[in-house]
Amino acid sequence: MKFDNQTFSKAIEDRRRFLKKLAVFAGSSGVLASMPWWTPLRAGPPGNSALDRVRLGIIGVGSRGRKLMLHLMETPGVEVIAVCDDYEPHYQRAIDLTKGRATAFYDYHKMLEMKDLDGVVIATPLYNHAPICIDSMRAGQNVFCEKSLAYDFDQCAEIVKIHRESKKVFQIGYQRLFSMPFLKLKEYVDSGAIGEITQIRAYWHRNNDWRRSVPSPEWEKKINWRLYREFSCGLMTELASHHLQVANWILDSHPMAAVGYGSINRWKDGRELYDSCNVVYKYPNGVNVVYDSMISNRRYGLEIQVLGTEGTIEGEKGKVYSEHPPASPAIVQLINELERDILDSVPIGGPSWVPDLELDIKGKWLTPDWSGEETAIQLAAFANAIREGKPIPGMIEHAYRGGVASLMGQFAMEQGREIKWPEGIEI
Amino acid sequence: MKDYIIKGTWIKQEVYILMGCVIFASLVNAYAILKFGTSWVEIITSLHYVAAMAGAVYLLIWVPRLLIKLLVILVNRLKSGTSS
Repeated sequence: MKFDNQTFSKAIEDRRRFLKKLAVFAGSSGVLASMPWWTPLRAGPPGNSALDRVRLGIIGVGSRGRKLMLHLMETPGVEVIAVCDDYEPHYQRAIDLTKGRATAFYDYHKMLEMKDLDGVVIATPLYNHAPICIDSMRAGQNVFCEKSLAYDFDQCAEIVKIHRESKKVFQIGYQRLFSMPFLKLKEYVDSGAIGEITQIRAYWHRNNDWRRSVPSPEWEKKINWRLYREFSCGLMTELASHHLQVANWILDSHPMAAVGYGSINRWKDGRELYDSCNVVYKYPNGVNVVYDSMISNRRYGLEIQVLGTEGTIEGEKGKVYSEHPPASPAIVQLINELERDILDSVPIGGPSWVPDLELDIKGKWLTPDWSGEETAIQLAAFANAIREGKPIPGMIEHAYRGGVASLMGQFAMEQGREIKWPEGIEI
Repeated sequence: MKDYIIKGTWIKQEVYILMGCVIFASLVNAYAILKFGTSWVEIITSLHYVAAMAGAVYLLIWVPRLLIKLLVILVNRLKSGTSS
């Protein structure tokens, strides 16, 4: 795709129209009751005056940071005035993409000294989320930080503490918080339509080594930081964190404890973090969240299944299934019965019972016509919140709960014991 | 090329057989509704199933009818062969 001025102008106008519609929706429906973090979206897109402009700096312009930067460049009323990366190819690419209009830095401390900066977007490896968040908030900046929140429990708590003192906008990169199907999912659950929630199952499966190409061996850990313990918590913080945030949201709670096992069973290439993770989280009222992630098979992809006594919701697919689907027409039932009587044989060596295979029902779409881009919406919400000068409700709570839950899973697997929810922060 | 003549009586007979199949399938539908206790609305809403079933029965009937027809032709040929 070509990123010229015309492309961006058209994209900004498209996005402006979309955000106008979204503002009407956010203002007129009950969405704010279940998703208060949509509050900034009620304002809609800003005008074109310089006063409306929010000037942002992006710290970390690698794979995710680049994507966020391109989204921000298409967001009405947002100007990317600074970029920062200490890896030369990313640094140069960011300069090229911003056509040299953004000031480029190797050291984020220097960026934080800029006088006309309204906020920063942090998309660095996990281990330095906390130091950069904390330094940015102490420098008076509004902060958007990619998930997961931080590298350990203390860092997570420190970010919450400093955010509460700063009164600035803090947002975390959990885009499902801005997804219409997930909003519908939450409404379904709260309405009791799928009965009592008894379990949540989530998984994220891929089949690749999760590596990025490295120009020379000395850059291995810098580029493939997701594979090394000193920089990341691997699949739990990079993938699981999203679904754990959704589970916390659905259950209006956080996990009390976690147990699990992890292993490196496929990619024995010197990596330190698991390529296979299995964790069970204990929530209040006897509900468990069962999570697994692997990078050696992608048959089942990713999904979060909310299992209730009256139905099931698959969040990623955006479908709801009843436990009591309407019966087939009588004539079909009769034909099926005749077919069974005539064709079914009594197995001699096989099972004499009917296996409880997956029910073959089509389900119903949660939002049949939704085609929004959640990342774009959440960045628009961040920009609007900065413009209004008001923190986004509920955001730090999701950041903390999701971040800590993903760390609990990693620690449980590493330490081979139950890890309890850390005390100390009221959330 | 030989010309085949489709007689009106033959068309009438096929229509009667097809109607018989539709009535049979409708009766099966009614029986199924009674048996499984579903709504009588299905007399209308399951018409596509009834039509499919009627078509299937009509085709099924075709097989023995064809065999009988072939048998009759064969017997007639044999008879005419012996008489000459």
